[in-house]
Amino acid sequence: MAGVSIDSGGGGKKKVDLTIPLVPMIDMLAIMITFLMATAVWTEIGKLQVSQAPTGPSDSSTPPPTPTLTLTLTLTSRGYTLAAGSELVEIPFGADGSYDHADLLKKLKEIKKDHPDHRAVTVAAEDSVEYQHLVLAVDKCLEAEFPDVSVTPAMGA
Amino acid sequence: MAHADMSKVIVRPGKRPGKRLSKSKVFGSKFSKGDRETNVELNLTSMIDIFVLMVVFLIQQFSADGDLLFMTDQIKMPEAANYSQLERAPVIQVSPELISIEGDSVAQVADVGAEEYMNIQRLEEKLRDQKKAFEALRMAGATGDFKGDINIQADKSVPFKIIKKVMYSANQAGYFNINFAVLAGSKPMAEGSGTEG
Repeated sequence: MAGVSIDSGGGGKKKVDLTIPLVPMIDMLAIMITFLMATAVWTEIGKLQVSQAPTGPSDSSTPPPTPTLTLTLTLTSRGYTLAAGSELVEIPFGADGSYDHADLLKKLKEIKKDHPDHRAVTVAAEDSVEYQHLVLAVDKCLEAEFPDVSVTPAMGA
Repeated sequence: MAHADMSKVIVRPGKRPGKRLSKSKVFGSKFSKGDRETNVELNLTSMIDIFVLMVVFLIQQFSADGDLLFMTDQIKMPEAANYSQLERAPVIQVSPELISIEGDSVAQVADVGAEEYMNIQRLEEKLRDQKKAFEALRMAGATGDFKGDINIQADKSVPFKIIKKVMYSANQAGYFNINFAVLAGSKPMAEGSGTEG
């Protein structure tokens, strides 16, 4: 048990002994550790916000403003297809047989460099594309600073 | 000379530690004779130090985000680096077998995949009910606007065919802000923080 002896001074004989009660402190720390361990969240969770691209005619009377560039990223069973306006870029699977994210990011950054004010991208996917690849494509769009991501089925899917 | 050698050879029977062992603080006392010190003091200072460090570390790690989703072994979420913070909203769970909302099963993935309809009827109904419940609460005096947020917690192997139907159903029910719930992946070196949605 920890104790502190203080000399009262003044010539008096009285001794003031302070004892810091360590036992309740250790109890409290042990309970806090148990509680925090029980409630700890070891996996950090986040969100990727997307919208669904309109598939039919809009019912609003005012037409949406025409974007300067129509940027569409399509995920197919062969790889990515990136359509920026009239330009179409095919990004086939990488050497490991999966989607080439590095190349996609490079192309998206090039487009962003040419159109710094453009924010919107439409991610289209075929039915067979796995969710993880869709999420990764959206993630790369956000990394390339295209925050307005719409998700839609690929044409013919 | 011979007598001196004999005194070295003949020793008292019993346990005989080596020279180094007999001087050891841990084992030396086993061979000592006489009264043993039985009053052992715990070294509390270092124990409290460890406890305090653990509490500080655990408080730093503490996060309430985990309560927003039901984490199950059946759903292995994909990772993403450019995420923003998850907010409270109805959660649609899509495992490889089952689609559920807030823990209530609404459809089998195999059935939804086989159907030709774009929407999932029961999911849409449940979402409409949730929206109505929110509006009823608001009428009763609860604060906050309906933002149309929905969190989709899907397994990474689920095909887009199912996801698009879930998204379409959410849209039909009036939930337009769709959030894909993801596990935090490693962030790019250039940018330290996630993008705000």
